[in-house]
Amino acid sequence: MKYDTDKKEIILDKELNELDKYVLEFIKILEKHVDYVIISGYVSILLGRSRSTEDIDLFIKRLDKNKFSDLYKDLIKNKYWCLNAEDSEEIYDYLINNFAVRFAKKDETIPNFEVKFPKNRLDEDAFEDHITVILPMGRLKISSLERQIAFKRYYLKSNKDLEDAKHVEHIFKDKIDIEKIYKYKRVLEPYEKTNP
Amino acid sequence: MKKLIPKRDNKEDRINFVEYWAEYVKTHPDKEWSRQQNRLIDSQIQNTKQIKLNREDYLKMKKEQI
Repeated sequence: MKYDTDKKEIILDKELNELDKYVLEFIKILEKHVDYVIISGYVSILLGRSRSTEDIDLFIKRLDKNKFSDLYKDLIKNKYWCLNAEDSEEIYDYLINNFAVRFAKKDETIPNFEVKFPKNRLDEDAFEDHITVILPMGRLKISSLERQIAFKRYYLKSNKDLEDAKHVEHIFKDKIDIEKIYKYKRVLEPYEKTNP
Repeated sequence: MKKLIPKRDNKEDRINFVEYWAEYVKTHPDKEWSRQQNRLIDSQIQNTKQIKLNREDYLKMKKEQI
């Protein structure tokens, strides 16, 4: 695994698993219509964490109703469905109102893609700050490693999230900007989440 | 690679393993660690295909029923 911090690229010569293939297939459709960035658990898994997940979280840039309708039609054409609703306008309304919506392969529920619009400046920064992961069969945009660590460690904070943060930090410790993690920490503190 | 030293506390032991595995990933070729990771992930995906969970029940389970 090679991380070029100047180019913001990670070259990953891994054997792809079913989850990676599933993500690449979905992203191939999505990116024809809208910019995206993958966040949270799948980022750690892509980078080698020894666990799986049932959902892949991602932000898509805000787009208008018509463009969303084109994206939705393309997903339907490629045998995906939305778990939350079937009508394009209804799904769009959820997104506009800051709900995440889930897409999976038709008649399946997991794994699924939890898609949401960025709801504040912090979320929007994930796009500008993204890293491109170059895989043998495609490319994926993921959130910055510092953001990944900070959200997991200082906001989400479950055991699983703390372990995800530890994994990413250990692998890239020589290349991570510690000050940037603390900057995120300071921003996240007012939004502190309490886990059950 | 250093040997994995067992810890008494479960949480501590898990973190210990996370660090051990991360070191393995860092020091071994991508193809080598990913082959092992894939066994875990692919078997889970196969298992989920056996469980027919409809979308209403899934969203209810996630407390996202709308």
